[in-house]
Parts: sequence; C-alpha cells; structure tokens
Amino acid sequence: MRLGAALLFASLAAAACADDMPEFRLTFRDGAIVPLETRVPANRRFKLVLVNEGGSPVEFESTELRKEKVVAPKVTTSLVIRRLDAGEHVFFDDFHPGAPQARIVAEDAGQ
Amino acid sequence: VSKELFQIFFVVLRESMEALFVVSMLNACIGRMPRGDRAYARWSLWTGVAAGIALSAAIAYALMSVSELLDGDGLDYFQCGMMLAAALMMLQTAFWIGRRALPRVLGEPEKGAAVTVGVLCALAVAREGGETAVFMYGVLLAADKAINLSALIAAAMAFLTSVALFALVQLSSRAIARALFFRICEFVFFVIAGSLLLGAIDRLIALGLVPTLSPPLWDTSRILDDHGWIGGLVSSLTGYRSRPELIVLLVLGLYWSAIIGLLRVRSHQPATR
Repeated sequence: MRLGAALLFASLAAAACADDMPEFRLTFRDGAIVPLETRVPANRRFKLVLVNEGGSPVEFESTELRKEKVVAPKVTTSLVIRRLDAGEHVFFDDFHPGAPQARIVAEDAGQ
Repeated sequence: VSKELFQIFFVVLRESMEALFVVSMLNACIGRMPRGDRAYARWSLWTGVAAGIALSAAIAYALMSVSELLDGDGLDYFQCGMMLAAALMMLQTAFWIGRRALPRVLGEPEKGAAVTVGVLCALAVAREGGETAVFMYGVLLAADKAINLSALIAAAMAFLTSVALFALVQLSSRAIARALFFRICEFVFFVIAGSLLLGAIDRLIALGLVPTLSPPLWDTSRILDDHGWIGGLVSSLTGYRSRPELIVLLVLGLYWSAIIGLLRVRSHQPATR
C-alpha cells in the first residue's frame, strides 16, 4: 500500500511535468464506495473520476470538498478539485443515506 | 426492502424541502394579502411552479445525458448562478412579505413583487428538482429490476407527506395573527437565502475564485454532522457547517448584519404608501 502510494506519487511527479492532472477513480455501487480511502497530493489540482456501477443513482457530496454531483446508473463522470489542504476530507453518497462515508486523504508530497 | 423504502422516502422529502417551504409559505401569505396583490401573485406563483417542473426535466436530461454541458466547472458555475439568483429573489420576496406585514400598509399592489414570486418558485422547484428527477428515474427503473415497487410506494408516501405539510402551513397561517405569520415567513426566507448565498460562495471556492481564508476553525460534527441525516437537512436549509472556515463565518456574519441593518432602517420609516 505504502509502496503503491510512493509509486503513485512518482508517477504524479512525472505527470506534473507533462502538465497533466493526476486522476483518481471512485466506484459507486448502490451505496458502497470503492475505495473507502483515496490518497491524493495536497495543494494540487487533481481529477476524480466517478463511476456508478450500481443500478441506482448516486450523489457524490461533500461540504468540505464543496462538491455535489449526481451520477445516473451506469454513468461515468468526473470532478476537478482545485486544491486541498493536507488532511482528511470526508465525502459520501447522498442518495444512500446511512451508507458508510469515504475519505480523501491529502498528503504533502515529501518536500 | 423497508430500509430502501425509508431511504428513498427520506431523500425525496429532503430534496423537496426547500421548494416545499417556499411554495407553501408564499401561497399562505398571498392568501392573506389585499385583493390587488393576491390576483397577480397567486397566478405568478403557480406559473412559476409549472415552469420549475419543466426546468427540472431539462436539468435532469442534461445530468443524465453524456453531454459535457454540466460536467466539470460548468456544473459549479451553473449551481452557483442558480443559488445566487434564488437567494436574491428570496431576499426581495422576504422584504415584500415584511412590508405587507406592517399595519395600515394596504396601498397599491406591487406587480414587480408578483413577478419575483414566480421566478423564485421556478428556481426553488428547479434547483433540486432536476436531481430529484434523476434520483426517482433511477430508483423507479433500476437497471436490474423491472419496476421497483418499494420505490413507487416511497415516492407516493413522500408526495402525500408534502401535500400534508403544505396543508398544515395553510391551516396554521389562518390560526395565527396575520402580522406574526408574515414575520415568521420573512424570517424563514432570510435563513434560506443566507444558506443559498453560502452555497454560492462554496461553488466559487471550489472554482478557486474565493479563498477559504483559514483551515476549519472548529469541529462540531460530533454534535451535529453536516454530512448526517439530520445535519445534512439542517445544513442545506440554514447554512450550518460542522467544520467552518473563516470565510463561512465572514459571509454569514456580514449577511446577517446587513439584514438586521435593513430591517432597522425599515422600522424607522413611517408606514405610508
């Protein structure tokens, strides 16, 4: 997991040179969110790809991330996050209240 | 099955709460206004609701289609514009209702106010209506089932509850003094408008156009989590945040100072016209 994160950050650095945003994939399936924890670089622009694999609509929502987006069943869409302070940021599927919340953990990329 | 039913019932009711407040309170206020105001405003209100439903369908279509229209930044700009417009219309309407609550102010009908009421209702219905339509379409015609019976029952229950709440507001408007009822509605509209304003600022922050000015200053999510069942509803109606940054406090502080200032000015004006 740690190694994976390290490799990911290495690839992020490479991506930054190409002036590309790193992308992170979040899969929704009728209330379940995979992965429940996503590590992203702090203070950097990145993209969240939202995939709804379930049969019911979902709504990505977070007051901390200040985003709210409906995703119809079997649809893939994306969100761009401008920047995040280092730390944990919770989001959840607003169309499945009571289902477990998930986290985005922003980390300083070892300066 | 019953958990799913309750979830659907709760989501539909929560999404329609703001529109429900706006339409039921406005309709009740208009019913107790002088005849001149009533004629224009009632027509405008229900035309606005109809327009809002049509707009909801268009938004739902845009959200479900593969088009990039409401993708990425476009969605944030769109949500921001809708919330700012709704907040402005809500404020104007609140002040109008407040003016009409004053004794002996039964002058000329305000046609402009009636137009604002219509636009406000259209925005209130359309803002969450599009998302609710996507939600209902999705759960009713869930991909792997034919027609989801529990979703149908939940939707019917939510609709009946809305009708009951609407009727309750109409009845209570008759049960209490007119001026008091108008004051209550005015206050509720100020609260919702503040929440909409904060929502619009949130979008601007997400777009990188406004800074948060600080990290979260405190965390009350243990008492009332704005991501929770109840907290989410409170947050969407009042602008409550369990982890507010400085910008949130500034926006709400300035907003309420301005409202109180404007109300002071009005209370010192002689009640003519």
